[in-house]
Amino acid sequence: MKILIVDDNADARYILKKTLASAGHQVLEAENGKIALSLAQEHLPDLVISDILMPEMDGFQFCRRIRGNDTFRDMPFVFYTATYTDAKDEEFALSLGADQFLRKPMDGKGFLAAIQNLVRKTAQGEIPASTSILNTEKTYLKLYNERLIQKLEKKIIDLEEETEARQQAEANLKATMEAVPDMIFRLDRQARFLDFKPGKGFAPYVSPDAFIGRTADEVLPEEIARQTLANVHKALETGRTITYDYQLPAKGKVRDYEARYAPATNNEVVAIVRDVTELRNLQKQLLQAQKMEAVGHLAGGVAHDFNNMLSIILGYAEMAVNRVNVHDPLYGDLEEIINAANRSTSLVQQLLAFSRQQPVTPQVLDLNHLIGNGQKMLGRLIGEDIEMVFIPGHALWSIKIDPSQIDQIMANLAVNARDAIEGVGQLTIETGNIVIDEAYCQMHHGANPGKFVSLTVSDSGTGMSRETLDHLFDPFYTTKPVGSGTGLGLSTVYGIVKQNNGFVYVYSELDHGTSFKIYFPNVEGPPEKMELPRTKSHTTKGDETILIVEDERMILKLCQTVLQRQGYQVLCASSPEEAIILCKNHDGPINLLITDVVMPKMNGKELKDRIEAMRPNICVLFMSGYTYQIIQARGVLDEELNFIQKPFSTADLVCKVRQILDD
Amino acid sequence: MKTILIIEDNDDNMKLICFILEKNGYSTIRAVTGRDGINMALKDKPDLVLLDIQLPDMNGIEVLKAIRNSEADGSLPIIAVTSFAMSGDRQHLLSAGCNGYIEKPINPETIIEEIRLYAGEPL
Repeated sequence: MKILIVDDNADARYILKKTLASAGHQVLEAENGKIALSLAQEHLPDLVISDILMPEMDGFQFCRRIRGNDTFRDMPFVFYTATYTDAKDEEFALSLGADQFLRKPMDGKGFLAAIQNLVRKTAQGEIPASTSILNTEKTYLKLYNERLIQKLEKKIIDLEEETEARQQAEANLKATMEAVPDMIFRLDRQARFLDFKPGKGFAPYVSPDAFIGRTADEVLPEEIARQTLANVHKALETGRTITYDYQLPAKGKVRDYEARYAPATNNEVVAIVRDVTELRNLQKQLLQAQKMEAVGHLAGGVAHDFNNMLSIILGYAEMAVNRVNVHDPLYGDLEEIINAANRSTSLVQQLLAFSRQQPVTPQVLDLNHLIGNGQKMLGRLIGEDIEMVFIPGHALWSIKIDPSQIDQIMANLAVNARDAIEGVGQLTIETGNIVIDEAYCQMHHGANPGKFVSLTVSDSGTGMSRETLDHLFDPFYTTKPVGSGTGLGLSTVYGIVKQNNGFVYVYSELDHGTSFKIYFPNVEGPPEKMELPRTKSHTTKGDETILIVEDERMILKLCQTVLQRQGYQVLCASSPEEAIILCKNHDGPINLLITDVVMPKMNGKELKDRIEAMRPNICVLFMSGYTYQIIQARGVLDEELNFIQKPFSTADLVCKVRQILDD
Repeated sequence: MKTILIIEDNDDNMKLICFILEKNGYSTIRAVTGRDGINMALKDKPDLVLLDIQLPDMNGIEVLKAIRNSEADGSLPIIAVTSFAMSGDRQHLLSAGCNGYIEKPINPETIIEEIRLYAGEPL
């Protein structure tokens, strides 16, 4: 059978065609009533299946034409439709002379059965030849208009729903955009700003009105405008998001921005611009902190080895100077060696301070009290042209720090201030209590929230350049003339502050001055009384037996010589194993064990335990190039042990030995 | 784009006519009363007016005359839309100054031909 199907939807036609062809029918296709009409006239089909809504000529009009044509008056006509179909449509369709009204969707079998049934009935004459009951054109048009209006209304409702859905989507998009803290722009191919959503970092560089409708080169600096245009093109051509970092002056300061250009529709680009100034600052601070950490490790390592060498130089020089006559020409030479070695020792102390390995005795103290006491010393350092003002904070909280470290900080800062002030000026020292919150920490790398005591040292000096500020705490970085500074002053300050879990920031304005702000964590409890230095034993001589264990042979020999000169019996071991054998084999008493802490195979603590098991009454003195804190932190030593830090002078050693034996 | 003014008080008819015209590429402006229709015909300068003859406030012929009296050269094409079924109406309206005449219910196929005739192609 030859069947003509009429539907504007190609997919619907395809499915229908497959269904009918599978049942052996020949299929003609038309996409609207107009085409169908001419196809019908040309091919004379046996049956028509038509949709209702189609462009050019819809199904109702088509059916009317078919039924009005004598050739097709009796041809079976089926409506097969879904869109906006209601009972009135069916009524109207049948009144136009259609034989059957089928609603989509139907399964293939049901559809074929309905069609076969219709064909059979028609052939058997069960269905009278259909004619349109709409006799007059006017009745037809009236009903047809009604149908059309009905469908329009449904379509309008659909459109309204669609509009509402789109408005909702737009509202959601708008809310999303508002929630994004960044600036969002829309640009056309010429990098013209079409739209703008303000965001963080949109300083009044230009107002939105000043650039909407304008191109990048009208509102942005030349290079950035050029890059913007290039990025817009690149995004459009590659279909990818392009990122671009740049800087712009805003509110007199340079701010960092990170822009992302994503291709959108209509040859337009959406740009999301993020103010990354704070992020970049934090990155810089982190980088600086890491650099200081690395240099600190290096400096600490060097200082440690250097200390051993200095111990030997100093030790032998001191012994030598004791053996020559004051009038001997060698005497002066040896004194020079000792002086140089002492200066080197203080340099190493600074390096150790920077690398936070300085031996310290922290105590709870009142910073106001300490600074008040040290004012005289500072006054001498800075001279008379500079006025010193101390503004102590009220009811200052306690901090825990070695008082000598505060002296070091104050001395270093005062000397720098003095050098920064040309002629007369002012040095201001302020203290205060401060609670640091999370927000502050987010902006300042290295800061921790909590209660702190602040120490601010400001000068009215020349201030510092950006470049200088970047290297401020670097060891050996100095702006002073060659020979005037070691470049270790501020490194020392930095190291001390870090060692005490504090942090330091610098604010400097060229030609106006510099301000150092140091924060020390608050500790609970009243300040301790300052500890007086222990009185040294009057005598340093003795005849007790001392066992020295040290894997550095030169130091071992030095200690042996120094102690033997004081009259002691000295046993030497260059390893813990050797020391244990000596202990077993030695007949007489051993009064004191002097041992290095860090040795291969067995550390000083283990050695002490082994020897104490054999000789319970033995005294012990530990020595190390590492600081007491480090050794304690590694769990090698307990707190109440005797300890001497390398490098030590021969005088220090013999004093300490006598003191321990006397206790 | 050609603009057609439709003066029509029946909402359904208005929708249908606008739909057909817009589908065929014309832009539409709408007036529901005769008074508004006169104003818009003179002020908005449409390319053609479709005028329903049965309006709530005024007789369509009055509207027609008011427009004709106020325009300078009588060149605005005005097509009457009416459900008057009697013969003689057509002659009456044409002599009153209408350029054309469409009967309700409208025939979507032929209305466009009539409009093209007087307003020209949509663009």
